[in-house]
Amino acid sequence: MLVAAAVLGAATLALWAAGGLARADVTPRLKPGTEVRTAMYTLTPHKAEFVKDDAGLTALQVRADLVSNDTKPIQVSALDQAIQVSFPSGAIDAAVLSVTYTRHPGGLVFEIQPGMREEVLLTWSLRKAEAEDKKKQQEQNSDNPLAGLGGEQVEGGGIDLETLMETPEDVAPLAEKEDEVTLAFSEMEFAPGFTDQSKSWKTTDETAAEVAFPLGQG
Amino acid sequence: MSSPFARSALTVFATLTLITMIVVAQSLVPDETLATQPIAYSGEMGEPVDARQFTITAEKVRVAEAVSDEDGLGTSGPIEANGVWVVATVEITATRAPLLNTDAELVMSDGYVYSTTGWLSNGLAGGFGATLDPGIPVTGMLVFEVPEDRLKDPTLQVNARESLDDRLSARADIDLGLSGAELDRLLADPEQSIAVPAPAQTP
Repeated sequence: MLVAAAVLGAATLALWAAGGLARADVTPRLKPGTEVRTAMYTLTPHKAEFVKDDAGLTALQVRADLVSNDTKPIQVSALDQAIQVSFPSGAIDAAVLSVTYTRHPGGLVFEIQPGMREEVLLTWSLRKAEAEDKKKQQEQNSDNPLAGLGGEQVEGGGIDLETLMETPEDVAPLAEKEDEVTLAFSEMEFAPGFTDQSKSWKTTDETAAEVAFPLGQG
Repeated sequence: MSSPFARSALTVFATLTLITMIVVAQSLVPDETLATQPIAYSGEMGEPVDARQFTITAEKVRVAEAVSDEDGLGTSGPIEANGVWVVATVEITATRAPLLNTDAELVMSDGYVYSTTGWLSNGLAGGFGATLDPGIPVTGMLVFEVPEDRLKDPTLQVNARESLDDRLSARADIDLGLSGAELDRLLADPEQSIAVPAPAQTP
């Protein structure tokens, strides 16, 4: 009996050491062209490519079909929070999402109206990824109301406004080395905030799906 | 004197009743969104609606396949709708103070809500907008893009205020009277295109 218990214990320990007791990754990994459905929106991403934005900087553009599942207009900023962009190298960060419809590419869209299926162009401005130690420093300064605005920190905890106004560095040299990008689509909930108790769309800890795209230059 | 058992039973009953009443009262407290939503003043198409901070009259509603800016800063050509464009002409007058922000929504009878398009610079809301000075009536157009099958007995909700914060601001809810045969007639024969002029002081 003791031997059996010891064997069982050793086997469990070995299983744990090998990672067998870790929570299984249940996030579905889908192919481009597959529909992703969340409480807030349904999106079918087709293609991702690097393009030049109006300022001549390299941006990431994803062509997709999008329809809102809400009965009220959805802010594009909520969609920005709902989709996380990551490059395998970790060298590029996606900054701000802008949305246009292919039927009227000259007009920026700020709200997604309900029940209207559209072919959309999701365009993220890109910037060089910040070093890990710098990210940690910014997280430690998270109680600073100016944190998160970007720009260089100056002595005393403020922000150097000159660096904030500078044109961002083009990531074209880094983009040339990327051959894949992954979009992670968060599950969303319509819930009150912590300080602002009014209800709005917020991300949850769950990921509805991940889609990896091969990349080409636009 | 009542027995100790009866007193205990009464205490337990009173406690449970109070707890139940607390839970019920708590559930009746309106959430933040409901408690601070704009204050609505209702009216009908063609009649002035007094929303305290402003008065507004919805003069005309048209339905079109395309819209464009008339001599505006926006895109040049007509923009085709994914559905139809609903264009409401309104006259609005600030009552007491300059109103810097005007928003409008079209609320359907089934609860679907559509906001004004941001693609036209001449829209009274959603584009560059217009500052409303007290006592000076301004006429402009509110432009919405709506799927045809979602256009059901819409109410035009207009909110004009001094700041970006719309909590507890004034809102006019105007029944546009678009239902039944009148709605069918507009949808069956929409105008080809509407050129939207910039908001201007009413002559």
